[in-house]
Amino acid sequence: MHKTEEFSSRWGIVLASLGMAIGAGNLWRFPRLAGQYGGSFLILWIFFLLVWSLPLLMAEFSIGKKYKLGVIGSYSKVAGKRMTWGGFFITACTLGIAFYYAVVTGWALQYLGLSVENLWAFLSGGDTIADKLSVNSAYLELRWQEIANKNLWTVTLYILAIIAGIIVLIKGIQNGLEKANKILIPTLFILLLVIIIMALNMENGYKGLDYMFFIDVQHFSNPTIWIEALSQSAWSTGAGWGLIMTISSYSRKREDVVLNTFIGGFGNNTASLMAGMAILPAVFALSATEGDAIAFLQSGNQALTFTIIPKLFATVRGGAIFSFIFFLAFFLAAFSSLLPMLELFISNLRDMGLSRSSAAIRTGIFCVVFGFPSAYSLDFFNNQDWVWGIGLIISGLLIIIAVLKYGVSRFKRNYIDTDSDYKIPTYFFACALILNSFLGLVLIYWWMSQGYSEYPWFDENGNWNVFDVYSNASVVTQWGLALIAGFLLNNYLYKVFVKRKL
Amino acid sequence: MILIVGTVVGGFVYFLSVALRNEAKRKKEAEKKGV
Repeated sequence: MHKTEEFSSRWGIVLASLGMAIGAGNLWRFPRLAGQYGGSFLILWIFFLLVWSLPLLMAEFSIGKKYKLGVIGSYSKVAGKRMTWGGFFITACTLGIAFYYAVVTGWALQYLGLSVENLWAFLSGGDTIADKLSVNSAYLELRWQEIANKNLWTVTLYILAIIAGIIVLIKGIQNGLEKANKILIPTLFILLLVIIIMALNMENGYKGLDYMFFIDVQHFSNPTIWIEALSQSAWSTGAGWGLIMTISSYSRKREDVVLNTFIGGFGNNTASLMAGMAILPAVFALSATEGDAIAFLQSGNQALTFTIIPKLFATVRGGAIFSFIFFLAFFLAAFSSLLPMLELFISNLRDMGLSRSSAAIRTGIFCVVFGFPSAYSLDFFNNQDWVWGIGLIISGLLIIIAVLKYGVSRFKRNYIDTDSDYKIPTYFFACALILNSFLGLVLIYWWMSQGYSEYPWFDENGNWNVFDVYSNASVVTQWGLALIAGFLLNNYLYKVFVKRKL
Repeated sequence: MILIVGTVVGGFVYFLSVALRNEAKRKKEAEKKGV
């Protein structure tokens, strides 16, 4: 089916790019790292925005804009028929993420519900979270364990999140995605601003900012901080996910590439800074000691968001309002990122000749079925987050390979420079892509060697340790299955998604 | 803090304002051509 839908204006595509990029990671991962490593991390994170994220985003944006196909078709057009499997892998990877990201959106809804309940209790004199904590100090940890495993509400809410996403997307690009983002993104920025003002008004809140922005030059010699900054930039901006390629396939004919990409990248980073400036002052203000605050920040994404933050907010007057605003922002961020993930699959199905409604319904069913294990089991969720999170680096490398194969100068001239308000130097683009090839491999090696599994390859009996949550065996097996499927189906994928002959 | 916030937020605001200006220019040109 020929893609005729377009965003109505430049702002439609810019808001969609911001919605894609600003997600749970801006609110739960970035503040943790900023609090742990401070200003040195922030400087390196900005550096990698310029070096890793923006070049990849420009490449993706221009590919989607030129070919107006789903990721599989567009990628194949640039990289060549024999590499159609690359577009398949990028799609499979982002789909793998979409399945569990719907669960994160469901969790966000659940905690939004809890914070509404808490706010109501606060206003009506009922039992608040603070009251429940005074009876049982582990109340929130126990609640989280209940919610994350075999919980009927979690399953219901992630399905509702998918259904809500499909309802938006069935309406199309202008009436669905564009209209939704016109509400979601400005609201999200306003909420973040409100949380910043509330947090900075807390006693000792400024200490959080001190930690966040303090530059310890010794940190620059710590490779971990370089890796964390690169990873955060790679994951947060959505570079290499195929999402901006999907969004830009609905761009107007003469849409600018460079400036739109820069707005998206810097906008995403602005949202992250705002989240950091809201959460860190709150954590430092409400923790008994600075040591406690640092320990909370090192506790991990889920623990920080779903146990520590509500617990800290419960200790302060007006904390019920703070909690409500925070979880509303978290839900908006997650939902706005879920939409383009669903659209990525819809877009590919439409290339097979399906109508928008038919493709959307099939996408919804697919995501409900394959998201269920992550909704049911936190171990399964964590495994998928691990496998496809690192898999995204491979997706990024595949985009780089496509551009290098096409020829960097030729690609820049034919894809990026046409219609762009700004021209970036060719040598910068070329050097960035070559450097990123190396950085991508370093990242994959680094994350796989982190040793989160006791038996990364073989278990204690010498068997391939594929069912371990964090093992390299599990990662490599799942990537391998996606790659093998892509290789075997390469010609079929080309026929269906490029030639569009079923 | 000023360096980091200035670079990121300043960059966002700058690129947004350039885009706004360019869109306004394009709209004016399109209106002149009667498109």
